[in-house]
Amino acid sequence: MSSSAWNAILLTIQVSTLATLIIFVPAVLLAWWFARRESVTSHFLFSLFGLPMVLPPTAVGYLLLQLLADEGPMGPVLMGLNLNLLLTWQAAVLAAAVMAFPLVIRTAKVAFENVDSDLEAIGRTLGRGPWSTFATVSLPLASRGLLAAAILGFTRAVGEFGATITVAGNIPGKTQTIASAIYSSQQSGNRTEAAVLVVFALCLGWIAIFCTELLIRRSTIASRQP
Amino acid sequence: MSEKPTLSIDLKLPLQPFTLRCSTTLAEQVTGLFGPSGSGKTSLVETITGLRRNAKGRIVFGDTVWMDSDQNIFLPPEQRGIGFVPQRGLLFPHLNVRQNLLFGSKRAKPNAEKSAQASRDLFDQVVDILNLGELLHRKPAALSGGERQRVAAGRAVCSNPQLLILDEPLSSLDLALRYKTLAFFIRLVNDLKLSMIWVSHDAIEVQAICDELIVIERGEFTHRGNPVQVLSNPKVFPTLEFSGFQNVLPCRIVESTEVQTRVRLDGGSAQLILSETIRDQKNEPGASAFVTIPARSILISTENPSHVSAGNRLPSTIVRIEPQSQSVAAVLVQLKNQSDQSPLVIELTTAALNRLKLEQGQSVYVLIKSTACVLQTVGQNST
Repeated sequence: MSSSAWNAILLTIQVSTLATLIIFVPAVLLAWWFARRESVTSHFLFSLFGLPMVLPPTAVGYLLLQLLADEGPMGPVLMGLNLNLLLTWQAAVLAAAVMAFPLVIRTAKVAFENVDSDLEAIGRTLGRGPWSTFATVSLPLASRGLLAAAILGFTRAVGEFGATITVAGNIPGKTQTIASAIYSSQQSGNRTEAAVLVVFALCLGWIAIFCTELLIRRSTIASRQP
Repeated sequence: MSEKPTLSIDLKLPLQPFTLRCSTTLAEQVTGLFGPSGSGKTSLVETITGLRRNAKGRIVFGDTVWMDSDQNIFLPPEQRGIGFVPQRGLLFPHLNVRQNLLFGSKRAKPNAEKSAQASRDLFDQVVDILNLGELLHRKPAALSGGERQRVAAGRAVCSNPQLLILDEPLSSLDLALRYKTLAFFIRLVNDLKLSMIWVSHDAIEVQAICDELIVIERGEFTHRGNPVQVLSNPKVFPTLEFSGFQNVLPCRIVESTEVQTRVRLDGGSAQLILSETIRDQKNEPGASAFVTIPARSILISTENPSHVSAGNRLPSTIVRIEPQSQSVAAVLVQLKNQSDQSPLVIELTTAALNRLKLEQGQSVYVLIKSTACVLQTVGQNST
């Protein structure tokens, strides 16, 4: 395997893992809130967080670019410090995180919806506050579904292309991920490298989908009332 | 035990298609809420537990205000010191029985003098009373329906509640299992002196366990008082389920032989002979039990019959006659040598009533077939 392919694989795993870790906790908390509170605000926010799923990824990348630009809301002028994110691997993490967020929230929300909310109510009558009930009832009962959410988020991050290439570029050894490496090798006619990367992506994706299916099926059985 | 706190409720609760209104004080140890499904029972207890928030009004327990919509006070469920046993049990599926029982034992608001040792004792007592010892390591999925409801009750009791609220805790069980499980709840009340609100539409349950009964219909409290008095009221009596009114008589076992069981009714010295036999060490003489006798299976004779097959001939006095319809009446009689707490209810046709010319105050004999009585043992009182 060429070193550029190997670099792309390592960087992709690093970027996707970090992106998943960053979004997991906020996504789980928001998903719980969305699953339990039906209000105009929650519907509004839920659809807002879903946008990266329906927008062209390059559009999301463009918006991120505007956000991080010199005059943007997160740019050096308004923030007072220069994050220097553009065209770095950290920008790839940001792009992957934003793109994976809706999928993680949606899967986690379903996991919480499968937990009987009456069980949480019982927890409250037994003297536990809302957070304690969340930690001892909702979280363990949703755990399989939440793990599935994390795996799906990770795979979404692995496959990210449009937003990543817009904010992080496609610099071999620096910001080139599997997706952009496949694109480059295909463009340059390097069929072997493209094939190696495609096979790797295929295996990773297949294992991930298989695990999620297994987890989601088991979680619906486990959280069902006897 | 200190003075039992009373629960004052003054509520207006919008439901579909009516509004539940009630203004009352509950002071008895076990109060029954009795009514058909859809009458608002569950919504009312959910409001008392704090799980339902759309009511207007005030709930005060002892000197703690649980809710006052005028002053915007709403105490969350975890601070009300209640135990709740829902119809579906709702055990935590990811925890075993022991973990379920101990889930609420770290209650945020424990009774001041309760120490770790006391809560340990409570756990052991609950496991003993509800006979859960062999189930402690099982997951809820591996329990039967009756076991599940016993664990649900135990879990609520282990949280050391000031008030236990049970929402049709036995209605998911079939009839045979229902009264066996009821016996465990009666022992909980007797041994631990718990205060309870018992929601049910089963007339046997409420007579066996409740000190006071409130009938709720379409969101209104329509009748209230001693369970037998309430259930024999002409407005309530005809609504009782398929088998009609059942007399529920608490008693103690006197002796049990190969062919029959003899019991002495609580609150007096009258005895009954039943054809049922029991062979269980827990049900030795002195054990508490209750007998159910359908009001339709009891006969009245104006003289002491000598040639009759019925195993029980009890001298009694007619206390009251309640016409229920054109054709049927309920006759309430007081057995000789029994306190006047619990009259026996007998369903007679108006024709029989007229033929015998029965009237209030008259002395009669009550005839009960030994095979018409069903015995349900509660077990040895630990005291």
